[in-house]
Amino acid sequence: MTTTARIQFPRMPRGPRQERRYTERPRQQGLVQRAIVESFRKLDPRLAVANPVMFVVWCSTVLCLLLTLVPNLLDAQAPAADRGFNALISLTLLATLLFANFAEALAEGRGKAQADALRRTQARTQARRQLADGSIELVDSSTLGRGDLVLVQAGDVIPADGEVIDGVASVDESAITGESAPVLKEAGSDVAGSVTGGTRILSDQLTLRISADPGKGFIDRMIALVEGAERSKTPNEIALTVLLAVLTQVFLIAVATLSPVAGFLNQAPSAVTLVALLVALIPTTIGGLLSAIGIAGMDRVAQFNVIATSGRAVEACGDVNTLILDKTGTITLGNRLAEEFLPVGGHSTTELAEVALGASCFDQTPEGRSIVRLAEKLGAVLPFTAASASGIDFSARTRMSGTDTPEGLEFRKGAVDSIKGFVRSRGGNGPDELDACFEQVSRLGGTPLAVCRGGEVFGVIYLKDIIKPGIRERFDQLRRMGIRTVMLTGDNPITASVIAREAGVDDFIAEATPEDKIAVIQQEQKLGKLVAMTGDGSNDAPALAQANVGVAMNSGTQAAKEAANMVDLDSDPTKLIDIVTIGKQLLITRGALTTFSIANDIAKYFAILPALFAGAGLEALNVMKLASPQSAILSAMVFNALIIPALVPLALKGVQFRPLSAEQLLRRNLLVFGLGGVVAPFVGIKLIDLALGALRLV
Amino acid sequence: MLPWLLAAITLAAVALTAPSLGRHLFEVFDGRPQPAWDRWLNPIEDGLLRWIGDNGRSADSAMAYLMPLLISNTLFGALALTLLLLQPPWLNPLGLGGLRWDLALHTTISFLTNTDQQHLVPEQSLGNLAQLGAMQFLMFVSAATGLAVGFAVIRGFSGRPIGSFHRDLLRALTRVLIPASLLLALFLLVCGVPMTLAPPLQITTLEGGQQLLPRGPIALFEAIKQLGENGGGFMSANSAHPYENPTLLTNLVSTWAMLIIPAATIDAFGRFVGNRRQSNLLLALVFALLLIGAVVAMKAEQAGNPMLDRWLSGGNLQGKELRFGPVLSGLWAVVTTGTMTGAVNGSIDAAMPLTILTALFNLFLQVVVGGQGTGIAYLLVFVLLAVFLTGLMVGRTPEFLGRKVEKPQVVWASLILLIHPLFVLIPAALTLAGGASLAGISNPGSHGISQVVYEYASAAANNGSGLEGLADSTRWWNLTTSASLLGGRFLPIAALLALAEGFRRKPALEPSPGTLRTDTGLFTAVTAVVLVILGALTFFPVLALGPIAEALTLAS
Amino acid sequence: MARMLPIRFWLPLLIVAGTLVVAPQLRHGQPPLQSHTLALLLCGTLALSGYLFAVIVNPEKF
Repeated sequence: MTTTARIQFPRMPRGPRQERRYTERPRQQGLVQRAIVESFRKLDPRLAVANPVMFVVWCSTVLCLLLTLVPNLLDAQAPAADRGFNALISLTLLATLLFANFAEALAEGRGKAQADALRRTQARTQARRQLADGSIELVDSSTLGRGDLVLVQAGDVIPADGEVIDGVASVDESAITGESAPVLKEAGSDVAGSVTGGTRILSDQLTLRISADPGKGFIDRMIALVEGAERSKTPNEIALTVLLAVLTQVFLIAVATLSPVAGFLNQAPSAVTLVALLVALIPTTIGGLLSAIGIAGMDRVAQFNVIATSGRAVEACGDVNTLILDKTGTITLGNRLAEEFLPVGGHSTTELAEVALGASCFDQTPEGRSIVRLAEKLGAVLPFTAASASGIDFSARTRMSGTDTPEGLEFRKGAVDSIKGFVRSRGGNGPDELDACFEQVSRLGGTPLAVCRGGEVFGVIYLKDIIKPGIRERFDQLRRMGIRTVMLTGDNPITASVIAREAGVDDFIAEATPEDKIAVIQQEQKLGKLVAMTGDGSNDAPALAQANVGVAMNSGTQAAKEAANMVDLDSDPTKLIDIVTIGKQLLITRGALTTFSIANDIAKYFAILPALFAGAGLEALNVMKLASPQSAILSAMVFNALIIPALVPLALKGVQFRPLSAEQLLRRNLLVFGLGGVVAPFVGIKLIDLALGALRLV
Repeated sequence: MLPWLLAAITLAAVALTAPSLGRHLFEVFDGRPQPAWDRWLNPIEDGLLRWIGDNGRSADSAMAYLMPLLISNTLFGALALTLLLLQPPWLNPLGLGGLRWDLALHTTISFLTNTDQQHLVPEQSLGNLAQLGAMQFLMFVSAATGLAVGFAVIRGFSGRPIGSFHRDLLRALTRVLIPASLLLALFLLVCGVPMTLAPPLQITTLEGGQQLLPRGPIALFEAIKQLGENGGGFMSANSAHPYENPTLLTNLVSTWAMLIIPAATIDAFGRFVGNRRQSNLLLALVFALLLIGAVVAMKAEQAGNPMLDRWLSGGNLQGKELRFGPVLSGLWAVVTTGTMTGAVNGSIDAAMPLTILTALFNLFLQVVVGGQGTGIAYLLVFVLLAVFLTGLMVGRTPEFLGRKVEKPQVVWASLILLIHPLFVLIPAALTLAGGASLAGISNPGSHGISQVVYEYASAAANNGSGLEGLADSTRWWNLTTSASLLGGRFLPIAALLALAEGFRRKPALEPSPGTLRTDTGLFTAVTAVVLVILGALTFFPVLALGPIAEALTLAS
Repeated sequence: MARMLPIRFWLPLLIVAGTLVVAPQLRHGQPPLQSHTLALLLCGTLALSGYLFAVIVNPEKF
C-alpha cells in the first residue's frame, strides 16, 4: 500500500505549466499586513454575525470584557481580584476572534490578488458599437451589453466575449492562451467563430455580436468567486454550517443551564469560567476556518487557470463518478502521425507514397502534413502540378479527402470502408488484402487510412497514435478513487480497443458522434452517476450542459463555453483530472478540520470541568494534572485560540490528497485528524499549562 | 456466578431469536404475502381501514403520514383522559374516584407517549376499567405507533414510499403486538402471574392484622408492558412485585421481552435495505454498548458500596428484590433504560452511582437497542450524522444507503439532536433553580441533581423509570414532565418522518470504490464514537455533577 | 407589521422588556444592578439561541 500511496499526480503531463500561464503570478507581498488590518475590521458585529460559531465567541468576548471592567457586574460578592483572570480570558477570546478573522482575510487577500491578475487581462477599452442603422459610435467597453454589434479593426483589443458574424481576421490570443501564434477567426465556423475579451486583433477587421453582459463574462464571474465577496455558500458548506450551528446551540444550552444545576451544590461557577467552557466546547476551529477553506479552494482552481462559474461546480467535481474524455488531446497527443505505408494489390511502396502524396498535398491538417513528410522522405514526387489541381476537403459525411487533377484523376484517402465505397462507385474493387492491412494497423492501435486513385486502391497509411506519457498511471489512480473513465473516439472499434487497453481506460465508445456523447452521459446519469466531460465544439454544448461537470476549452466555441460550468483557459483537457482532485481536496479539508475540531472537545472537558467545580469532588477527572483551576481554564482557552493560526496553512493549502479508495482515505484521515484531534489538545493544554506556570501568569 | 450466566443466557437468547422476528417484521411491514396470517387478518384489516375511510395507500408526504398519527393519538389520549378523570363505577371494586386533573393529564400523556412514567400508585388509584381501558389500551396503541414510525423511517431510508399510518398501526397490532403479548401472557400465567377481574383479596397477616392484597388482569398487562417498551406497572412496585415478576425465569423472559422487538427491528432494517451485514454491524454496535453498560452496572452492584464493606457483603442490596439479587437487577436497570421500557425490578434510586450513570447515558443516547420503533430511527439519525461528519473526509459529498446527505437531512437530524437539551436540561435547570421545595428532592448534593435530571431525561426519552425518591406527584412535576414527554415524543417523530420522506425522494446513486461504505467495522466504530460525542458529550457536565461526582466521592 | 419593522429595531426592545420582567425574579439578595445585568444576560442568551435556531433552519441567509 505504501508504494502506491506515494505516487504523486504528475502535475502537467504535457509540459511545464509555468511557460503557459497567461496571468502573472499574483502579487504576494503585503498580503499578511493587509490581512492583519482586515482582521480587526472584521470585528464589526455586522460582519461577525455572518458566522454563527464565531458570533457566539464575539458575544462571549464582549461579556468577558465587561466583566473585566466591572468584575462584580453579575454577582455582587465577586472579588475584584478576579479582574486579572477575566482580563486574560478576554484577551484569549479576542485573539481567537482575530485569528479566525485573519484566516478568512488571508484567504480573501490571496483571492483578491488572483482576481486582480485576472482583471488585468480585462483592461477597459473603447469599442465601436454598430447601431441599427449601420452607423458607428464610440463607447466604453464596459457599457456593451449582450447582443450588441461591435466592429473591431487591426490593433484593437477585443472589448468583450463574442461571436464573429462577419469578416476574417487573425487574432493574437496569447494573452489568455499563451500560444504566441495568431489564430484565424472567421464567421460561421465552430472554433474559429468565437473571440474572448482581452485578446488583440492583428489584421483585418471583424464584426462581433457580444455574447455576455458586462460583468457577466466568465472572468468576471471567477473574479467574484475568488474574491470571496459575493461568494454564495456551496451545498456542503451550508450543510456543515447547520451542523456547526446546532452543536453551538446544544452547547449554549448545556452551559447556560449549568449555573443553576451547579448552584444546587453551591458550586455555581463564575460567568467568565462558564463562558470559557462554552467557547472551548463550540467548534471554533472549523467555525473560524470554514470560509477560508472555501475561498482557498476557489483560489486553487483559479491558479490552475480554470474559471469556474460557481463554487457548487468545484464541489461537484469531488463527487464525479465517470469522466468522459475525448481520445485526441486528452489520452493521446493531439496529432496522429503517418508511420508507415502498407501497399496492397501488387503496388510498390513508392507508388503508394506517390498517390498518398497526391491525395494529401492540399491537406493542411497535422496528419496530412505528416503524410506528405513521410512520402517525401521515401522519395515520392507529386504526380501533377499542384497549381492546376483542386483539393477536396474532409467532411464528416464522406469521411475522406483528396485532390482532383485537371486530367480527371481522383486521388483520395480516408476511412477504409469509405474508400471501398468510393472505389466501387468508380467501378473498381478493393482487394482482399485491404482488410488484412486494416486489421493489422488497427491491432497496433493505429488508424488505417486507405489510399486510392480513381477505382484503384493502392494501400493503407498507418497513422500512429501516441498515448500521452503518464496517462495510464493517472487512470489507475482514478480507478482507485472510484472514478470510471470512458474514452470517446471517432476511431474504428479495433483501434479504439487497442488504445483503450494501452491507456488503461475502463470503457470506450468507438466511431462516436457528438450525439453519442449525450447518450453516454444520460445513460451514466440514469445509473445515478455524476459525469464530468470536456468539450470544445458547439455540437458539444448540449452534452456539456447535460454533464454534471462540463469543462469547456477556452479555444472552444462560445456556445460550448456558455453551456459549461467551467472554462479551462489553457485548453488542456487533461486538467479535468486535476480539477476533480481539487474538488475532493476541498471536501476532505472541510471534513478533516470538522472532525479535528469536534474531537478536541474531549480533552477540553477534562481540562475545564474539574477546574470549574473544584469543590464537587471531581479532582480525579483532572487527568492532565493541571496546576490550578485558573491555569487549567486559561490553558484550554489559549490552546483553543492558538490552534486556529496553527491550522491556517492546512486550511489554505488543503489536506494533501492521495488517490486512495474511500476505505483507505477514511482510515488515514481518521487516524490523523480524528485520533490526532483527541490526543493533540491533551498534549497542547498540558504544555501551555506548564508554560503558564513558568511565566507565573496565573 | 449464576446471575452472570443467566445474564449471558438472556442476551444470547435475544441474539438467537432476533433474526426470525426480524424476518416476520420485514414481511409484515413490507407487505409481503404471509399466507397463514393473511387469510385471517386481511379481511379484518381491510374492513377496519374501509370503516375509517382510509384507502390504505402510501402517504406521499411526511405530513400525510403525520396527520393521521397525531389525530388518532389525540383521540386515544382523549379517551384515556376521560376514563382517568371520571373513573366510572364499573370494574372498579374499590370504588376509586377520578384522578386530580394534572395527575390524570400526566398519566395519560405518559402512557400515550410510550413512556409510562407514573406519578401515582396504580393499585391504589386505578380500578380495573382504567387499568384496561386507559392504561393497557394506550400501551398497545403507543407501541404500535412507535413501530409504525420506525418502519416508515426504515422505508424512507431504503428508498420506498413511507407507507400508510393506519395500515401500519393496524398491522403492528394484529400481526405483532397482540399475538406476541397473548403468547407471553400465557407463559406468564403459567408461571404464576394472576389474570383476574376479582376484587382485592382480603387476608389476615401472620401478626393477625387485616390486609388488602390487590390483584387484577396482570398477565396481559405485563406482557405488553415488556414487549411494547412501555414499562408502566400494574403495581407501583412494578417488576419487583411477585405478581408481576414471580420467579427468576419470568425475570429472564421479561428481560428478553424488552430487548427482542427493538433488536428485531434493526434486523428487519437490514432486510429492507438488502444488506444484512449493515444491520448485523448496527446490532453489534448497540449490543456492544449495552454489554459495556451492563458489565459496568452489574460489577458496580455486585461490588456494593465501599463505605459499607466493613459491615455488609454480597453487593449493593439496598432497594433490591432479593429474589433477583444485585447482578440481575443491574442488568435489568441497563436493559430497561436502554430499550426505553422503564419497568424496574429494583430501585434505581438506590443503585450505585455507576449504575445510575449508565442508565442516564442510555437515556441520553436512546439507541442502546432503543425504544419501540424509535430506536432504529434514532440509530439511523446518528449513522447519518456519522456519515456526514466523516464522509467528507473521503473527498465526496457524504452518501448513506446510496443517497446524498445534504442540508435538509442535516437540518432534520440537527433538530432531533436539539430535543434533549431543550426538554431535559432547561426544565432541570429551572427546577433546580427553584430550590429543593419546588423540586421535591429527597437528597441533597449530587444525588439530588441526578434525581431531577433523571426524571426529565426519562420523560423526554420516553422511558418512564425514575429515581423514585423524588416527590414527583406535584403540579409542577406533572406539567413540566408532560411537556418533556410530548416534546420528546412527537417533535422527533415529525422530524424523523420529514427526514425519511425527504431522503427517499433523493436520487439513488450507484456505489463505487470511492464511496464511503457504511457496512464496515471501521465505520461502525466511527459511528460509536460519533454517538457518544454527539449524544452524550453535551450532558457530560450534568453527569459530572450528578452520578460521576457521587461515584468519585464514594470511591475516595 | 412585524415584517415592516427591521429586526434591529424590535430585538433590542424585546431584550430590554424581557430584562425588566425577569430582573425581579433574580433578586436573591442581590442589588438591582446585578439582578438587572443577570436578567439582561439571560435574555441576551435567549436571543443568541434564537439567532442560532434561525441559522439552523435557514442557513443560506448567513
